[in-house]
Amino acid sequence: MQNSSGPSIFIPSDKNIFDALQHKKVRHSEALKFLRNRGILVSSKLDKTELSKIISQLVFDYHDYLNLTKLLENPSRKEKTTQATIKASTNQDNLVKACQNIDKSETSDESYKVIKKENSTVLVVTYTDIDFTKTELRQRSIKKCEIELQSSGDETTVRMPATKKGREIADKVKLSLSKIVGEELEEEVISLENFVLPEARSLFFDELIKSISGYRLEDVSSVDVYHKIDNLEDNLDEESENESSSYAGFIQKAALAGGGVLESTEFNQLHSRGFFICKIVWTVVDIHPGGDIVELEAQFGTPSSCTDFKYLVRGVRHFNERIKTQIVTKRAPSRLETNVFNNHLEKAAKLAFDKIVHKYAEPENEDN
Amino acid sequence: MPETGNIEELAKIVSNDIFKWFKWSTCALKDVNWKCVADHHKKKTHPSDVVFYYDDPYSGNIIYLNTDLKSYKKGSINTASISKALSSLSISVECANISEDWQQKYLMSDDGFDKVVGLLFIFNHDDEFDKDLVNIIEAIDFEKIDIPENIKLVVFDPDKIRNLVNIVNDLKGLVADNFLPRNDYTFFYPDMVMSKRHGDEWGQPASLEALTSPWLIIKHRATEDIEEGFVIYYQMLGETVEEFIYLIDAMSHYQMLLSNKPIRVRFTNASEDAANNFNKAKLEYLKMWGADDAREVQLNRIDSRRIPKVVSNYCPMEIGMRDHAE
Repeated sequence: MQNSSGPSIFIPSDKNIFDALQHKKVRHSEALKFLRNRGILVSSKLDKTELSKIISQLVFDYHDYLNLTKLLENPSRKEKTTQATIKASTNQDNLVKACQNIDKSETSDESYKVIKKENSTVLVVTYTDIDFTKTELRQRSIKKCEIELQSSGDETTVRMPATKKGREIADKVKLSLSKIVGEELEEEVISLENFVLPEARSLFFDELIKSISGYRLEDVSSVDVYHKIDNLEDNLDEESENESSSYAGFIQKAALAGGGVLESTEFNQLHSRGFFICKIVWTVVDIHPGGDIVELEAQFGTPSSCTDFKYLVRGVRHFNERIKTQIVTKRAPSRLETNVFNNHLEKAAKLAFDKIVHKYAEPENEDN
Repeated sequence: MPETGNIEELAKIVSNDIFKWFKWSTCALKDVNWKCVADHHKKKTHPSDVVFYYDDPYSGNIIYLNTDLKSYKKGSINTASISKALSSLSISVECANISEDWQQKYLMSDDGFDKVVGLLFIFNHDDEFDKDLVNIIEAIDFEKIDIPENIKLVVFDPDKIRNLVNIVNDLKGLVADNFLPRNDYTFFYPDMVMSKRHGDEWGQPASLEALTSPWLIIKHRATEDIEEGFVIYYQMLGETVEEFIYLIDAMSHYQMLLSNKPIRVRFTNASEDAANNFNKAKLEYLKMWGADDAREVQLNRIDSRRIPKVVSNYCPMEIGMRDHAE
């Protein structure tokens, strides 16, 4: 099978190797170790450029090449998560089948793995990500994209990384599932595109941060606000556009950081001038004593239209029994914690969304 | 120094058994001490068991290898003994690069003299050495040895030596069967992007870099029984198909596939699946680049197999506990 980017295995030239070794991710000690493994010993005082010159003259075999590209990879970069709800009453067996039946005809470089869990189905896609803007040996990197499907009642929740690839795979799953169910499937995503009042958009976040079940809002540490300037084509609410444009000035976007941001006068001034929240970072604390503090993030990837909703569990500050409080440094969430909080976030987002619909949807039509 | 005669004898054997085949030359003087010129070494003389030299294929300069032949019992190949040997070799080589005495004894000509590299040659004289020398080297405190900036040391451990001897034995077998000319072969150095081969394509020696590489490529002229072509000694396990796709891509990159010459890939260390994996890799490679009859013909000229005879340990003679004799 031929594809435009050539085969996935190719031999790098000495210059490619030299350039790759120059990257700061390849440490001096690693360069020395590579030579030592070959039985070649040089002074540890030689700088990395000298070491790179020596190494790039050697023959690299496939394993050396893999090791080098591994060093150059971005380790576990946190990807934000997003979700979609598919209106379909189905069962887990169908979800598994849908994952297995995905059309793989155009995907020579990808491998698919389906895992059936207790109450969800996980599809793991391993693929090669290509970025031609990087130096040769960094252009290709192996990435994983995990899609989790959960069916309850007449809905199926699809959780995926908020990336182009995530979206692509999720669409394939949806297509495959609709073939099994035998009907076109409707998809529900969280989007405030139809709500143009800044209050409505901000209220969504205000509700969201208070709706994490079992946790109470502790603090809001950072808020990005956005001022809609571009015309939102046809579905734009003329009235609010006129209202806000008079003091738009040139500020389109502002980021506020600190403690208690939502209570600050600065925020409230901006808010009353037609800015709305498009991204928020906040912490919640377990309502039970002795629980952890969790830092969460939610945002609309496209703020002007408030679409492309995504979220992230940023970290956990663990409760320490000895000092009877949560420790100051946060650590990365475990897989389990990420799962639990993604669930909480999704539910909270739905609750918040429903509230906005309830409060603003009807009157909006009548007002116009 | 009771083992003096032994060292000289051993040096002769090693150079005949191994390095002659890799087209290295040997200096006449063996097992000689020469004057130290660095006060901080606090030594009167340094030893040289044997000095090899060859023309470096990529710089064209002559590389001299001040060699220390060490023979240990299995148990005494450890971090302490190797550290000690490396320390001593490191200061010897530092001196050899600037010692008039050394230069008078060993230098063939001032012309093309580039540098002296230290080679530590470690035999194991009682049993098969089964530990991984990489771990031993990793544990060495290099701050203490403090290799000077312009000095390069190379270690050939029992495992490496066994590999080299296996390659030489295979070469001898091929020559005996008339599948390789006795002298009309060269180690193959493709032009790289940042450095180009010096001098003629033919008659090149196996450089230290080539001998420590995962594969070694030889180009040979025709005999009555075989056309001009290549022999590749592949030293890795060959447990994956991917590594061979990569190797075939290397052959293509080195322009070895252009002239439809026969290529014999010979595994020195391979797992049982290696030949099978290699054949799969050929098919994969064809598939990757799209079906093409000409390419298929080229790839079918590549044959792969394990080398027939292998020695488990190379130890031509005992030279006793030389590690205590300095």
